[in-house]
Amino acid sequence: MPGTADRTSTTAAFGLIQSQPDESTSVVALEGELDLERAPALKWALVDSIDAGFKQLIVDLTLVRFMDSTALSVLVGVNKSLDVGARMAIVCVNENVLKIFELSGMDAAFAIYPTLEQALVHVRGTTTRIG
Amino acid sequence: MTVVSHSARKARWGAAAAAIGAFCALVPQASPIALAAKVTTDASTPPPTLEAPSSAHQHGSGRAAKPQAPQPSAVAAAPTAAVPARAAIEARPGHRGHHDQPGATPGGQPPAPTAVAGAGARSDAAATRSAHEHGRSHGAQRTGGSAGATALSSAPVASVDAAAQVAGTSAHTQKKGGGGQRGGGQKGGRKHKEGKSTGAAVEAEATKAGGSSGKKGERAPVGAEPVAAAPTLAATLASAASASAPAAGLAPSAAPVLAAAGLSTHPSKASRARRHASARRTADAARGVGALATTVPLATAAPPTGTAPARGVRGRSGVGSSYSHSSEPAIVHTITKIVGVVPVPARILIAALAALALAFGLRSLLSGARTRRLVRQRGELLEDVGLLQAALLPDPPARLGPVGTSVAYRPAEGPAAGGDFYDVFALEAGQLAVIVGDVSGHGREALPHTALIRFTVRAYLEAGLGPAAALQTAGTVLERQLGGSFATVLAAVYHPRERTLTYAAAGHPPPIVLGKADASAPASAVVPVTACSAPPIGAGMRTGTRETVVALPGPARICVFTDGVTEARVGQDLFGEKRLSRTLRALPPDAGAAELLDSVAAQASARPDDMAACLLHVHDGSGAPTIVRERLELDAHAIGDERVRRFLLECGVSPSEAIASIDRARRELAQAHTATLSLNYEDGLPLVAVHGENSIRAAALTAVGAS
Repeated sequence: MPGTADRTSTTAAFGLIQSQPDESTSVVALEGELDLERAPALKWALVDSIDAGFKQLIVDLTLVRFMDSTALSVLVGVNKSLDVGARMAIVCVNENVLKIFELSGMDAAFAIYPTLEQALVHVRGTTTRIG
Repeated sequence: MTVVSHSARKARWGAAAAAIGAFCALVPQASPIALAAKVTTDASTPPPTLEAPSSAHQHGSGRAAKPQAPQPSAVAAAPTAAVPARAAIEARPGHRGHHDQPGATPGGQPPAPTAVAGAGARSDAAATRSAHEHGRSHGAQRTGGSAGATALSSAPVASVDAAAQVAGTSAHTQKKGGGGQRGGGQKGGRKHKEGKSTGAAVEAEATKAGGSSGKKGERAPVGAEPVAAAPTLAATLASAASASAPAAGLAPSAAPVLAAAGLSTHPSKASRARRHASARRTADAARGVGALATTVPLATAAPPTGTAPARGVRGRSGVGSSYSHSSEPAIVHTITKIVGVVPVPARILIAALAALALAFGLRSLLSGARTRRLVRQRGELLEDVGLLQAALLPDPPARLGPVGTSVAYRPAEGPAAGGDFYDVFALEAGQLAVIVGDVSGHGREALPHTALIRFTVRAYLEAGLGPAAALQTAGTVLERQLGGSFATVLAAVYHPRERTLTYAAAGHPPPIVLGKADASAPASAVVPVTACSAPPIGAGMRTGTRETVVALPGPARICVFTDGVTEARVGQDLFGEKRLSRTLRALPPDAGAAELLDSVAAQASARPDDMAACLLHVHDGSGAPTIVRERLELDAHAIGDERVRRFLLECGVSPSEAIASIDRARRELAQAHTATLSLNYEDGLPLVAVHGENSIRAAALTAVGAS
């Protein structure tokens, strides 16, 4: 998959990697199950990114094989609390996770892309989303 | 009882004394004990030579079990050691006097002075008796071990044989004492009588026990043998002392022993006076042994002055403390004596360690108690949440009109309890409404929201709004009230006359609708269209934009559930809707929601979220359930979404028809706030109708969506 070459660290046991492709973009990549136990870690990673002044957030769920309503509520909450001018995108290809977004009707709220490159393009504001 | 058998016993005591001697190397003050130990082994030999304390201790540790060369000055040494020893001995009567209940232990007090005078032949028996008394009296209140130790320590002047005898019979006397105490009860008069008789028995027994010892005592009332006897007792004491400090326990015990030996040769008036004072303290006791006491010259006192070593000071202080703390039990007294011989630095160290151990123990105890309390409180809180949740959940009638209903709720296995809600109620014209929802967030903060959302949606449904309209209105109203949380809700209305179920979801999974299985085919299931699902209430977006109508011409089961059911775990996998559907099919036709959730729970390996389910049973009729109408409401923002086309395709609309429909909707939106795509199925094919709406409500909803 394109865009994963520079993110080999996502295989770390911790399951949550934060990286900064540029000075204004924060990418939070997760792995495995994103459930009640892991949702707080995601929340704080995103809140910390916002507090650190990042205007462009990307949540990379490429390696997440399952997401529950708790994690979804974290994403909804963060999405609602974004400042004016801040943009958020989600990278997701897993059918189960995409189904969660669809069933919850939240796929309309998020910019969801299959690759990190497309998500980066979205948050940088140089294209329209193709979700 | 022969001397031979006693010597064998002595050898054992000697071994014990040797061990004590080894300890004494570390505690110089305890060297008399070493001497005592050594002498003990020589009890049957001629009087031993007194050695320097250090060598004596070496002796004791190295060759204690072997008969030693004569050591004539042992007797001389005894008086020297007598200073502290006497103190210890004298302390004992006082403490014993306290312990001995007047009735239960008559004569308990005087025996000590008598024992001190035990160098004489007559006093041998008395000493033994005193030992018996002591053992008995303690046996009445304490364990056998301490009783035995005290008994022996109180018979220091008895001959070796007598001491051995005492050791052998202490258990017996202890039992006797216990019986006496029990028999005596607490009444003074009776106790007195009992005490007297017991005293007599003890005396007789003492005489019997001290038979051979008495002989020995007569032969050598004053001299090496009593001295030898004292160490024997000391050794015996050591063996009787507690395992934690056997050596230390011996040190103070040895002192009185030596003291007794020495004092027996130096009777004095002072001792007598003290004896009398002690006797006065317990009149009964004094009377019990009065005859004995008078016939026996009491030698409790008269320490050779000027020769008292450092330990003598401790001994004297011990007297005072013993008397002043006469209320202390024997073990405390023994400990007090033990403390007396421990060097100050070691004492400080031990005290520090003890304090540390106490602190750690206390901390462990406290933290343990705290942990237990927290666990209990957590359980109670979760239970409370469950109870509150249950209180908020209604108990609907088992049947509403033609539809059988059942609901069930299972709290999560963990802290996530709370948040799920449901309601089943009748509407006008025989309609039946169902609300099932799940508030994001869990626990107590979710509870008020569950009630708020449930009653709001219910109110709109009862006011006559359809499911989608009710959710849309509720979403508009509740958007600001939910704060940071949001809720997924499914609202459904069953129309008995039309035999249709109309449902709308706000971020909630669609219901499972199963037809009835028959011989020709398994139960058919309605496949819901999930594209363009409406978002939850409180998510900051317009909701109530989707609505589905399912025709139920024949028997059917409708299962509305929360995602806690489908997000239950089966190993590494989610339970999922397919597994839920299979579970529902596998249930008996008349099974309710409780059975469904029980079955889910039985299959699941973990349930991290609440589970709520509502089952509707539609009876009679024939035919499989099918979707007869789909509806999607679009605003200017949503019309550009790729999802709209996908929705139309999923509904079975041809791609060209889909594009045409979207174009029509877009034209409508040019003049109206919203455009609604309505798909009506005729013979399985959808007919798309588009109409715009420009109402105040639509405008308001659009405004909400825009915000």
